[in-house]
Amino acid sequence: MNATHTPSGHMHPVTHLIGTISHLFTTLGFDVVDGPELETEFYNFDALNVPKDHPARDMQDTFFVRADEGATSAFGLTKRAGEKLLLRTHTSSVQVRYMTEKMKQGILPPYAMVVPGKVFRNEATDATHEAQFHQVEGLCIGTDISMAHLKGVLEKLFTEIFGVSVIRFRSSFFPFTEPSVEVDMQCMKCHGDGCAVCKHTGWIEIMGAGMVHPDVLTACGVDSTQYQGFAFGGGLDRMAMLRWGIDDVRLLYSGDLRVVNQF
Amino acid sequence: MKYSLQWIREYLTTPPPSTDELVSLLSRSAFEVEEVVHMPSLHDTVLDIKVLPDRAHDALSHRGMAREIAALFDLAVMTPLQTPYTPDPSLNHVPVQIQDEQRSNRYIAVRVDKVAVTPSPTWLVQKLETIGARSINVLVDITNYVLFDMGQPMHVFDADKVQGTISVRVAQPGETMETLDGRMLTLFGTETVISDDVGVLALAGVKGGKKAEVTAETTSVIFESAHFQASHTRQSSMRHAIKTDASKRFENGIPTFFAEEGMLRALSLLLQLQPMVRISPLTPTLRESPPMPHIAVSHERLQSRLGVPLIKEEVIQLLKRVRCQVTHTDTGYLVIPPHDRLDLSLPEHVSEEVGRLYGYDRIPGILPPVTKQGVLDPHFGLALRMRQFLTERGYAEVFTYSFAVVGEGDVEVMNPVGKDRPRLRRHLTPGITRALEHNFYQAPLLGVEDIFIFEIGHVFHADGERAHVALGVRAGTKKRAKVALPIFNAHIEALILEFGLSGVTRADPDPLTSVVEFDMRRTRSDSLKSSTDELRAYTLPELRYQSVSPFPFIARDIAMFVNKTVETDDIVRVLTQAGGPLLVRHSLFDRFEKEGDARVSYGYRLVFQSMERTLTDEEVLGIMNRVTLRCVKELGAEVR
Repeated sequence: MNATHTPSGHMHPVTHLIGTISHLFTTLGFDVVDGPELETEFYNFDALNVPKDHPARDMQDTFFVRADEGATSAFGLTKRAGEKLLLRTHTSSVQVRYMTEKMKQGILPPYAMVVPGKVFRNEATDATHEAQFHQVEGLCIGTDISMAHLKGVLEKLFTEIFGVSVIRFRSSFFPFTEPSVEVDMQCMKCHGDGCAVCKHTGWIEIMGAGMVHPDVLTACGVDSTQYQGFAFGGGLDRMAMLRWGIDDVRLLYSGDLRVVNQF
Repeated sequence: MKYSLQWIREYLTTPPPSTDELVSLLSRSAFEVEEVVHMPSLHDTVLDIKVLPDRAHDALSHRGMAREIAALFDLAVMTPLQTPYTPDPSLNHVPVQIQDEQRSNRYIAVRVDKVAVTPSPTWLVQKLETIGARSINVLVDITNYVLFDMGQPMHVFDADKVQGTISVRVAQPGETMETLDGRMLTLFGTETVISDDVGVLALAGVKGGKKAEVTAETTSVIFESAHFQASHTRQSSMRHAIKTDASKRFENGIPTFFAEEGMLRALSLLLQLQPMVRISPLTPTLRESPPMPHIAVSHERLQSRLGVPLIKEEVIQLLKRVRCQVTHTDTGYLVIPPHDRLDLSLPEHVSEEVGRLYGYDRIPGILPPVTKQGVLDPHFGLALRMRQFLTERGYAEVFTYSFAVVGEGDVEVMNPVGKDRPRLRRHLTPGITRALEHNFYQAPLLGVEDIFIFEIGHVFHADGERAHVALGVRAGTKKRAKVALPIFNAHIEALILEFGLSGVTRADPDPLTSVVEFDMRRTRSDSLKSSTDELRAYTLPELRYQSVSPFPFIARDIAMFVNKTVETDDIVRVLTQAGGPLLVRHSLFDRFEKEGDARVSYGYRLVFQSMERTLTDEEVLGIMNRVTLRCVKELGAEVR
């Protein structure tokens, strides 16, 4: 026991993904943007076309934070009287912040950005569900941005992460996109033949996406008759689990070096 | 909802293709099919289909699903024959009073005399049971049949237990009702209720009450088929924590005209089963269904949104398959959706209908015409550079929980994940301290002596949210602390110098542990100039993750003298072979040779762990004896 042993350091697997995805998207012309985890109902729901008292709000179980409801600001956030504060349930809230801010500065689309960040859902935790996890959000707005562009960008993304360029869209519903799709990628293990990883379907459900709903653009001050574009959002933890075969999402947040030191 | 394929087929003039094709196309172009259960004894297949909120108003029924399947496969839909209903002119219609048309704009009640409360015929029982519903009696079953058949929730009251006028009104605060399943509800005064002159009969759109329950003795009933406003129904359902098939439909805003349709279907079925009943006229209803929107769709925008060239005739054909009326205009189309598709009101909704029927697979992937290089948010860039700086110096990055115990946070979560962690963390230090402790006990497994970790994450203060960085060390022993802590201190100085950080907080909970934390806003301004070049360093490591065991490990040391000619590779080979699959880590902790001695002394730490169970000392002792024996035999070692 003589020499000073300096073990080599390790980045968290989700950081590896965030860095790699940020790199890819900056080369595609997308900005990498940050936003608050503590949010107002406006940015997390209202501006994203999720009406109050609507079953669509149940799609994402929300953590609410105690704040003076009558006040017009709390915890450094500006809010309307009566508005609640919450932990963002998705990184989509940053879409709204980003576009609203750009329009305030008089900067019109094209916009292209990604947001890697932490989000929260109030649901029972198990090996595949955690109350806090990470997402990556993407947004691209212009005069002629289409679902074909969405497909092109996601093909690049999944090629980068999984070496898989075959993806498909399935019809779905999100209040903030129209059309809305679930994105499947061909199983990276069996390449579509069917195996245990893809539950013998040949496909892996990997994220939600769609064309930004005109009401969302309007809420941000963007003229929805002039501009259109796509948005997508997917779980980074799930991607990490699939990429490296991690079997329990909770291990990513327990500060456990038995996991991190493998990376 | 569970759907019977036989039931769906009653609506289709030609059966859909194979179940596999049906499931595949439904899942891709409409709704996710979550489960397929074949029921050979019933010659039926049950599909569990997940209908999302936008289509709950029309597709949570067999008729609605049949229409969807017909649209996907371009099949024709038929309406089953209904027994015509003639009211008995000698009976008066049921007096109904609607207090607030915002809450209910349609309430149809019909009195039926000479009913018999009997079990349902086998076909009806089977239909309900196939999709997981329970048969109660023929009258209740008829209302449930209508619900699952076409989506209109109904209710049936014992007419002799209803006194005076049926009124649809707002509840009085403190008013009570007993539900059919025996729960006593005290009403808040926000709910819509159905009442008679005496008391509450039902929580509107959610649950019926005991007061007018149909029993074996019932001979006259009142059928209710109504429309209740979505958000009030949802509030009632949530406030009383009662979720029913009825509330699930009303809260999604079903079409108002379903109320008449549902009532006529129920009466038609009743007449088939009990031809001798006498039926009153329907409650006169005042309102027409609101007109459907006329949606102007630009052909050019439609193509530009979907990203494919489209043929106008094909677009029209696709929209007709979803029963839209479509006419040409100068720039595209005028689309009038069918009355039950309340989700279609904007050109973008039309683009989804066209897109999913056209087939998303036919859309090619192309890159958007963005030519500039993206830029990195400066704070985000700072965090990435700091991560690089710390990992280069031997730190491992952890993520800990944002949720904290009372003493460790100011911001309170109203519905916390656990009662023990009701706050949002104010600092990273407590999480880092716990992670140091946890990993210290794992050190033999990790093959390290001291733990160096860091976290970059958001914390929450009364004046707002901010990003912090915290790094910590836990030395393996007091002796090691003399080396590890000065190294740690040097790293902090280097970090401060590199990024211009100020405002450090430091915690030294014990002589072996130290944690420091910085507010990342308090950094030199030039630290916030970041370029995307530094992202080049990020690539995904190629590795296959090894699962961690939930069971404790046992560590044992072995020290031996071997001849100088023995290579460490040989020692490791013998150790791993003799150690077997339970040996998860071996590390050399000591090597020493004495001048003039032909032998070298080696010390190895062996760590044993099972993925399936807790190992016993005896078991590990057995393995260690085997290891010793083989070292002696194969390496000529003298084990000390």
